[in-house]
Amino acid sequence: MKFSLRLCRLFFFLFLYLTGIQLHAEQLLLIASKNISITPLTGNEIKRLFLAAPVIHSGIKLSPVINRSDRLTYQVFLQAVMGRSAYTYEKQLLTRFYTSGVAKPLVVRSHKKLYEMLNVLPGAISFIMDRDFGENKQVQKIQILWKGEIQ
Amino acid sequence: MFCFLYLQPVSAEFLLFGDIMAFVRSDPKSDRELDNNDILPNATLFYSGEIGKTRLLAEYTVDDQKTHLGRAKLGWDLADTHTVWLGRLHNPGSYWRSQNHHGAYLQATISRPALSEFEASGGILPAHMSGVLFDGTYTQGEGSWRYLLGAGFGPRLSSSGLVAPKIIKGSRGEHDSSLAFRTGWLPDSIFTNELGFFISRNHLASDFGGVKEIEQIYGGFYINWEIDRLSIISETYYISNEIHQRSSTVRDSFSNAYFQMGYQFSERWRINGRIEQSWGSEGDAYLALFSSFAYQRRILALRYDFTHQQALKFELERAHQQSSHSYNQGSIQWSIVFP
Repeated sequence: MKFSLRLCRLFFFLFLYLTGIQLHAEQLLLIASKNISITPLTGNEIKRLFLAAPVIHSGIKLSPVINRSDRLTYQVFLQAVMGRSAYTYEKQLLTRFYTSGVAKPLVVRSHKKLYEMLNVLPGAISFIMDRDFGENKQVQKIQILWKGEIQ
Repeated sequence: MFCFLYLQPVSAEFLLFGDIMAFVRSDPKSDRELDNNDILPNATLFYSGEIGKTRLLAEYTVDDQKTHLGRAKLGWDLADTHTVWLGRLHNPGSYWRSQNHHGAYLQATISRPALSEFEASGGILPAHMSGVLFDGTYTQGEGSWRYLLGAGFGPRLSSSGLVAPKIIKGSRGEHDSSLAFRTGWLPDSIFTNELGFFISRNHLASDFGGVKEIEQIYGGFYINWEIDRLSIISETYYISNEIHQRSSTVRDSFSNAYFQMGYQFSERWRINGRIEQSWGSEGDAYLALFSSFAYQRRILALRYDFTHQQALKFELERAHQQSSHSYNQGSIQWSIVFP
């Protein structure tokens, strides 16, 4: 049994090598300005926050910022964190806005704008892929939202 | 109130809902089967602005015959989860209406349940009020309670049905008032699943059919639930009316419920079926004032979202009206929301 498992694993990696498919270990991070002192959020708090529901954590009223600087980051956020398709997520935000006037989260489309908003908007929270995070002295990692491999 | 638009709010956003609906209707019971068909365009402009803890929300609807101010309300956030609204409001005593308002794009079907119709479209229950609304949420663990309490001036009954109140009116009678309460439990506040109840008391002034005034009380239950690709939405109403005529008073009551089930085949395709049924409607003194009310309906609808902001809907309907008239109807609707 163990032998057949090893054989399967060997064939799997041989297949990846021959077909040229590469797997990269990636992480999606929850980030905020270094100027705020904040502890990790629960899964429910993160979902409520990005659905524009009021979330107060560590005594701070949090403001969600959607990072759409690249397609992959947004897709990983939707699938791994929100558990929804883009259509379902955006329609839910639209309904909340239309029925109660609850403002939709701010959307940024570049890393420069993302870092700017995190430092300007009080309680701003966003997400970014670890590989894009780099060295930024003004922004802190709060927690890892998702860890996995991307083809 | 609209001077708020010029005050450079911290955040302000517009939405434009548009739809064009075409239908063909036939009456198989009639000796001379007359087809009735029409094309109905509709547009709704929605504005929401915020300055600190103050919010303005306004909605204006235009169709091929009339214009109509759906909502225009100024709100103060008492806390992050409690808001007091003042202005023209939608009566909270209907779950369907409070979820979709005038946005056809948001509805899974083309038509609304008969009891959730607006006054201008032949609705038989007060849909608008001018007054005050308290809107609150109480979070408990992962779930939350939502409660709405509204009070204000309600519609009048005229020969063209119920007429929504104006925001400001010089002289008001003492009888056109509305009071409504709705509360619901959301077991997981990040989903739309909700169940609850509502109650409303209305005094409707009238100058139609020899009726001077109607004292109306209605209440009911609602549920909106999604299980994977399956969704259910249902409301049950019990409506009691005391109709004061010139020389006599009549008391009457009836019940109505709708049950809608939907299945999402894929992100783009969705099928829905809805049954609407009334009990005790035959000969009801209040319904006698609304001859086009459909006391029984069967609806089958298909929705195709061909972009994230546009949908095509197809609907087949069989309805029986209070006037003993029955019809079959086929409809198609294109709807959009922008941006």
